[in-house]
Amino acid sequence: MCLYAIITFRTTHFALKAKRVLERQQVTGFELTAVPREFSSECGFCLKAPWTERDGILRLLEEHGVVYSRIHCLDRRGREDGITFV
Amino acid sequence: MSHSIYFDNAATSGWKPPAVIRAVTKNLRRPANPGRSGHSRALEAAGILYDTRETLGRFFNFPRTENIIFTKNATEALNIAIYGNLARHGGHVVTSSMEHNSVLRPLHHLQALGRIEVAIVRAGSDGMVTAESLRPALRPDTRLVVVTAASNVTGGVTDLPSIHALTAAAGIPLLVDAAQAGGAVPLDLTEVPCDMMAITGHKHLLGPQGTGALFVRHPEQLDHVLCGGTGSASEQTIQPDFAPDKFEAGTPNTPGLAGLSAGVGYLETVGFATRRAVETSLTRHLLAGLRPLEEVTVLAPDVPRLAVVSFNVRGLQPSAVATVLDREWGICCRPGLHCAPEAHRTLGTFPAGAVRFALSARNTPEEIDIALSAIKECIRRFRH
Repeated sequence: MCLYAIITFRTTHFALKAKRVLERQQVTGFELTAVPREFSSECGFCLKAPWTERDGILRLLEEHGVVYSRIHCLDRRGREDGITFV
Repeated sequence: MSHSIYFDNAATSGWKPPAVIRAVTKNLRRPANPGRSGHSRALEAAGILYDTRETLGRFFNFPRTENIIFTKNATEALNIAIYGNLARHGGHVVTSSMEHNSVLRPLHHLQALGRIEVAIVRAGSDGMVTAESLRPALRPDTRLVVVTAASNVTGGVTDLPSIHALTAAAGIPLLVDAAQAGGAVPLDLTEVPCDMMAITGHKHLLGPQGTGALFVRHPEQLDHVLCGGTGSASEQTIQPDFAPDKFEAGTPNTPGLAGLSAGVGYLETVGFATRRAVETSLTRHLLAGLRPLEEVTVLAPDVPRLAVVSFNVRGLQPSAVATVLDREWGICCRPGLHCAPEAHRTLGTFPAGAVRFALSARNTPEEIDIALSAIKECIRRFRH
């Protein structure tokens, strides 16, 4: 069961853009953090947010031209439970 | 001499806002490598780069901020644009005689390698480049047009909308060298949607030296000229193919870019139009004092212009005038060719060049008056 969504980005620019977009939209409960080692290295930063919030977050990112790569699902033990390729 | 009158703002701005100095030192006190690690300070550093891109994108009205490539100056930006467009496929290039060596030298290099053919369109005797003068040089195989947005010698501002209309109609990419114009005159990349524009951070944008950027409309059509670490796609030994990482190998100048963002922020706060109005007034004051002098030839066309005025004093070498102005009056200006030899050939001032006064809104009418008196004194001494 998915607890957190891990959204990865090709470039740090879009990781930071995601952070700024969500902050400006007053979205809470997310963090920009280092990409867990078992995932693709991508740009080094990923967005970690409650799985239940992912649809709203992804909609905002797309509306603001934030290009993201993949959405990973983290279960309650922090393990990956599936990958959505975008 | 402790006090100096700084008239060399076209070389680099002689005054930086306190916010620029604070931004640079703040970063130097708390450094980290942006995007190379996942810790909090690396995130802060990455935020600086992101915010600087956003600031530049807002200032020049260029929303696709991921396509703003950081460089160390306009020269590097122009080199990326020129080599990245032409080194692989070659082709015919059109440029003007008013260009800086940061355009002419890479073009000459590629031509010497047999990769490209360059047509240098001679500007008018007033140093102005127009769409009408460029039009006959365009060919079906022309792959790039490069023009300056404003001359670093005459200060004349190029009519970019008409040139862009010409190149767009012909389907030829336009590269604009905005080293002098960026921050000095309005440049809106929505109004003039050129394919690429190079800026430097340390002149009219009031940032530190070692900063610049290339605005790229189609980064997928541009080759990178440098390979190396980007902090992204690190499992691959090939360069990433997406902007900005594709063009930004190696650790960037984070303190400098923090300062650049603060410099542009200052322009936005103080009011770009306010500074421009002061500079225009000072330039008029200077021209009104210089033009009546029989011994002085002013290389300043009556067109929209930067606060740049080049001139010569009859019978005196520009370098001699500049040396006397500096030693006796503390006036810092730049004599010679200003890295634009073809511009001086066009204006008839090659090889000695001219004396250039490049003003800023920080200058005063009193400083202009001192300079005018100093020039009159030079003339008086030469007569005797």
